[in-house]
Amino acid sequence: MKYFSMQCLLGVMIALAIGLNCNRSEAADDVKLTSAGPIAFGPGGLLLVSDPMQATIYAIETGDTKGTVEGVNIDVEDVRGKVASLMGAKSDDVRINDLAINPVNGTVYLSVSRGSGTAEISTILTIDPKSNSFNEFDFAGKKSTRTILPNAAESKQARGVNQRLEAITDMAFVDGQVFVAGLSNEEFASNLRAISYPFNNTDSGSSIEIYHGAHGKFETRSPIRTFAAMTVDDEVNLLAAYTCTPLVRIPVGQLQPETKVKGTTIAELGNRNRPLDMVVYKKDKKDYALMANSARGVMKIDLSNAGTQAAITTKIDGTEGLPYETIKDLTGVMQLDGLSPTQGVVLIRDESGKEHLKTIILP
Amino acid sequence: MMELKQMTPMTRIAVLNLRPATRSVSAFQICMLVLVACLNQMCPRVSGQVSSSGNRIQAVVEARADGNCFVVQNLQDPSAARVRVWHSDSNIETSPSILGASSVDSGELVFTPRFPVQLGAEYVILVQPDPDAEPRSFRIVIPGESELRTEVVNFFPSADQLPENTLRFYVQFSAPMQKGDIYRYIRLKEVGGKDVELPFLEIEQEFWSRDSKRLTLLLDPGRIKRGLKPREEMGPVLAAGKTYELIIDQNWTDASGHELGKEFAKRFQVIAEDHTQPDPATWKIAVPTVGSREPLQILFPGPLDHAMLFLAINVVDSGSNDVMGVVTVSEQEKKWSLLPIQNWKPGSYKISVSKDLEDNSGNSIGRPFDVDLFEKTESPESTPMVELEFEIPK
Repeated sequence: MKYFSMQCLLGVMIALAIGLNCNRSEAADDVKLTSAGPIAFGPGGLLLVSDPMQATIYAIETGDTKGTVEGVNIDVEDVRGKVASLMGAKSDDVRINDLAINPVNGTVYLSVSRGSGTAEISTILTIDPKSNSFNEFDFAGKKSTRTILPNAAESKQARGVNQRLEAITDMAFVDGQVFVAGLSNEEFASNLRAISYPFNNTDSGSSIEIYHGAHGKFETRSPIRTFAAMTVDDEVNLLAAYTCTPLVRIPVGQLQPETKVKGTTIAELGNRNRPLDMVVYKKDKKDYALMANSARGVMKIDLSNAGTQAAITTKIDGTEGLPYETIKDLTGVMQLDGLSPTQGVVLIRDESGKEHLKTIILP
Repeated sequence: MMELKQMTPMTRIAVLNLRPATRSVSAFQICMLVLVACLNQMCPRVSGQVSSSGNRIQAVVEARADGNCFVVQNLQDPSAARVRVWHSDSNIETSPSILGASSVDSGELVFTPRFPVQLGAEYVILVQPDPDAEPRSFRIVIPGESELRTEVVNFFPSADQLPENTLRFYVQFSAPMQKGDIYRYIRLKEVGGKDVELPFLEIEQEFWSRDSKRLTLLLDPGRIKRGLKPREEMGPVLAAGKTYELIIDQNWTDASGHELGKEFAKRFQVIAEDHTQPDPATWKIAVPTVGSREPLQILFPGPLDHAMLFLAINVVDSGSNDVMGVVTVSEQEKKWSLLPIQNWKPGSYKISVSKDLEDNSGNSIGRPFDVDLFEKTESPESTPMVELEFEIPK
């Protein structure tokens, strides 16, 4: 019983610690990124920045709320070379971790890192949508809040050897909540976390276990590679893509704290492949998802029947479920994001290994 | 003609360089400043300079409180001059120059790069003495670190026989490695056969430890779990009875840009799948003698996850005080020991073990990796810990 009360006390202390960190709106001058992972935009210029090394998500009011996406044409050759140039390093030594477009005015935000170990430096760069010129995002004078993802307990005896980290595979702002898909580098604990925004001290997010019976039999906790929000019959759903390549529909309303949720597999898009990035959009009054893949090009998936598609629960050969077409003109796409209702921005890797940012008309 | 010389560190205090917008100094900031100061101390203070013949303008790298800065000397009017810097690898025609701020200090034009200069790197400095003058370029090489080769120092699981459903490998390097696009340097090969196709779960962020020295390679869970499509179509990553080698390419570079220079190979034989959950009831505890500083030893019937063993086990005395000491994991991850700082006192002790502790196949104390929904449903977890007790008699 005493042990139990110690646990409670510890819980309260942790909750207080988390509360102290996330309940307070602070000057973003204090934001020191030790690493930079996925980034995403919420409404009104709100930028979410993940720092996986600190298991922290920052929400920053960028104040970047003016302008229009009209006439924007993002076109940057060798973007990694330019990032390397700005950071004073070789191309091999920098990484573009993610890209997000400010839906207000088309400004490109890049999550970038240079080096590794104690010399690792991470920051957010911006690309002006009109001039395509680069700048470092200036945190000074911006308001920010943060939330810390709960971490596994650490033994007192082994203090200082904690090398456990949560890789964040994707993040999105959906319907007043921040969804974070993550995967640990130690225990097998792939999870999806829903954190309500504004961040507050009582809720550091709830872990949601998603499983989909691939053959109706075995539970899976495979890690979500990329996801996006879509609306089915006025209800918000997540469309999540897994390795090799099931596409799963998850109703957001069912994502309650510490619950297990059954996702519905609505498409199997082929093996020897991993999904890289996804955007959901409307064209000619129909809903589509555009998904970049490691081995199967860019797929345009018809979401018309996303709500009614029967769950795939039997063994299938090849592909099944929602219909899709492969966009032949788009090759080497690593990342993508929506720019306007009709346009998107893609990060393309060419055969020489150079990466370019291009504006595309959504197919 | 290039000349390099050691500089005495300048002693301007970093606190003075806080931006005016930051009105209060938090404990965190003080820590960061101390850290920055320490990092600065670790950096050799270097200065390189190049003078083209016939003109007095010169550029040097000088250690300042903000780190190494590019300083242009002997300018007639430093406030009218402009300096830009590129890494020599960048194309100065098409790429933007390094981020940073220029200022005039004691008649010199100082460029403070936003990010620290890199050891071993070469920089191109373009100086325009005034708006009408032709720009002049200088090159400066920053001396590199020692050329000690980085190598693989440990590999876990360390056993030579691994179950078919092994979930992850840890590769421990002697120094931080270069991140990004790493999977092209790692392959899994069947001995006497072909490379295994796409064996790892490749994620963009890669599974690095905080110090960038340990890489986690997660074998694709879809190829391990029974009944899943990737496994049905491509087969399991490892097959019992076969022997494999995990090979790390010698061309992979460490964080300072040096290649490993030597291939690493870990050879292991694959045995049958392991679906047994670790059970603390089967562990053997070697109880230390009272008054001694003998290690407390726990022996497991099978190997457990090397990394998690350091975090998942905690020992407390009867007053719930942590027994402080040094943890080691040995005997192919079948033995955990705690060498205490103080001598053992008589009394009862508790070993609390997190139910998240896994074996090498992802089976944890709390749940197996692979649950057959028709065979078994999970019971809700009552407590996240399992407790073992032992007594040190007087």
